[in-house]
Amino acid sequence: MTKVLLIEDDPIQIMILGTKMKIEGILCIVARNGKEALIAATSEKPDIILSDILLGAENGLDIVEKIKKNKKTKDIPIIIFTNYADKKAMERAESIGVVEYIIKSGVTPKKIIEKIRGYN
Amino acid sequence: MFCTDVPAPFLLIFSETVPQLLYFSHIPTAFIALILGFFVFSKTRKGRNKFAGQLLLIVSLLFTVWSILDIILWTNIDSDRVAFVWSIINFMALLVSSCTLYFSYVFLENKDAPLPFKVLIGFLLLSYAVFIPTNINLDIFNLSNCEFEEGLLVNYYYFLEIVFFSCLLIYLIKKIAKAGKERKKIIALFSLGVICFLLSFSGSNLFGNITKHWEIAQYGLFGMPLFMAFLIYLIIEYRVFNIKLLAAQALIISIIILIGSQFFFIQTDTNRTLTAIILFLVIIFGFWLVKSVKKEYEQKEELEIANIELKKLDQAKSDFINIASHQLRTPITVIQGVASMMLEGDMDKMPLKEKQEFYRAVYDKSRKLQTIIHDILNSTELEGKEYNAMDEKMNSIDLQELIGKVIKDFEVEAKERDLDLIFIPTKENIPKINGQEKYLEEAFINLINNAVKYTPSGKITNEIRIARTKKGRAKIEISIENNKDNKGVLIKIKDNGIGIPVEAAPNLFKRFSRAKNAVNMYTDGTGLGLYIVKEIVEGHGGKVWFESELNKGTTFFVDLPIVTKELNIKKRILSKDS
Repeated sequence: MTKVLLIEDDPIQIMILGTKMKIEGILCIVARNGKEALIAATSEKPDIILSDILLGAENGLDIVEKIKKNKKTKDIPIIIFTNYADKKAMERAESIGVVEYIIKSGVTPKKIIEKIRGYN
Repeated sequence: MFCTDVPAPFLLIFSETVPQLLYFSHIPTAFIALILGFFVFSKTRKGRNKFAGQLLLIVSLLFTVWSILDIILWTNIDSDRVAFVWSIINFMALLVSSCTLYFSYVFLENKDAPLPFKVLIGFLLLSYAVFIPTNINLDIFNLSNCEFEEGLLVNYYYFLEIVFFSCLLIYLIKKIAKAGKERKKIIALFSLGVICFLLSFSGSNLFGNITKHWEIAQYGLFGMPLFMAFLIYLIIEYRVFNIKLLAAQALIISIIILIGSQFFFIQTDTNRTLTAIILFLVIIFGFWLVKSVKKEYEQKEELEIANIELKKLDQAKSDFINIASHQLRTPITVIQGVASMMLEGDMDKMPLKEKQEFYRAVYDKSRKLQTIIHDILNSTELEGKEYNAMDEKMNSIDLQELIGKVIKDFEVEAKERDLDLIFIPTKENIPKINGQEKYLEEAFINLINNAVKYTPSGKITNEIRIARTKKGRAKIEISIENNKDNKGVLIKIKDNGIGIPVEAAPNLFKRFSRAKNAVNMYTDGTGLGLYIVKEIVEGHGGKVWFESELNKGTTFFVDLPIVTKELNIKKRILSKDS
């Protein structure tokens, strides 16, 4: 079963994506902040990571950068999944090495799952 | 006692045996320096260079005093007078040098010198001054030719002059090296002016003293007003300074002087007439040329400033668009997500309770979208808007009535949330104010909405997480009264809610800013409510502010003036006249 780590703090988003993934038979692990994310990434070894950028006080790009630098998790493909369409953020994400930068409002949950399956 | 070999001067300084050069090098130069000093002082009195101008005046005054003392020294035969003047004249020279150093610092840094610097200079000067009345200064007096044999103090004088000069030189070189390309040229020119100024004064003095070639010292003094004029030019023209402008001005002035000087040499009348015509033309067109070049540079500078402002506005606009688009996308994502799941048949298999949560989310987000769009459009429309008393839409508004109406609209929600929403009645006579009812109503809706949202009573489920730190009912009290100077109305909205943290306070009225505890409590706020309130209240000539204590409550104050129609008419007439 595909294992996805979702780094997201909005409970409604978690509800929608989580439910869709469950219906599609994908295991979804949720981390609401940087600390939870790093622990989950290293211990659960997900197949793919889906991360938002605006996480309360934290910046998702900082968290994702740390995951990329960690030997144990650097090879996990990361998709940035956010509504924050800022050019600088996109450039930074690219330099960190994420595989895609997706604007949430541009895709349906089904579409995102197709993408996830694509990276498996 | 009088010196024997020298004839007595008349009028304190005029003597026949003294070379003419002495008079020319001292009297007109001191006079010109004095005029220049007062000139620069008056010109900089109201500018950023006020202090520098004052210091330059002091330098010129010191120089004048020095000149008078020096010429007395040269011409006098009263031994007491000579003794006194000789003993202090070097000290005067030191004062001129140290003040020039001080002036240079103040002008280039545009602020006063630090205390340690002043203390050091003062100490050095004092350490010289204490020896003035001793014979380390002046030793043996020769009555025949009215001359003193100088003691060791004169070496200390040379040393201090070199110290001041070197400090200045090092400081100026550092300033030039550190300066950006723009400033380098002008600082270099200023440095040149100051160095030449000091060299021509102290340098020639020192040189004359050491080599006993006194004429050098005399010629040096001519340099004084010259370089002072140069420095003054730089100070006054600093803002619009430009090498090309300086070159144009120098050229014009040189031509005028050269042509003017012809008048001393021309013999024939024809020549004289021609020269006069040329001189006249050069003066007229020269000054016109300089004036137009200067104007061009001033315009260029203004354009640059406007450009910077435009860039800032542009950045602010794109920041706004960034955040606004993010705010709009978030609820759309939810609505779209759930709708797509409905179409894909995912909802059919879901239990009712879970389905309800999804549908609730769609409903809430679509309402939120409504609010965000309304707020964003509002905030852009209201930005900087002023409510003109002459506008037909303005009328006399009874605030008590208006606020009463708003409170009534919130009664249902207050009951649902188990909040006490109280309008405190007043016995005072509240005047009507001029305003646009629609907008004032919006402002008070936003303020009362905030109070309701952020004063939890524990009744609504997601508020249970937020602990109430004190017992008692959740309460919002609204009052209205005459303001302090009786020219307006003061409205207070007091709640015992979550309060506003200190860090959030300075930015609270800015667009999209929300306090952390507010976000925790109510994640869906737009961050535009208070911005809109501020624009409306200030547009009506009023003020809005708050006092708050974290977890205890917040009170918002709105002060609206009674702007009478007559007052506004007066304002318009006055502004037309000015």
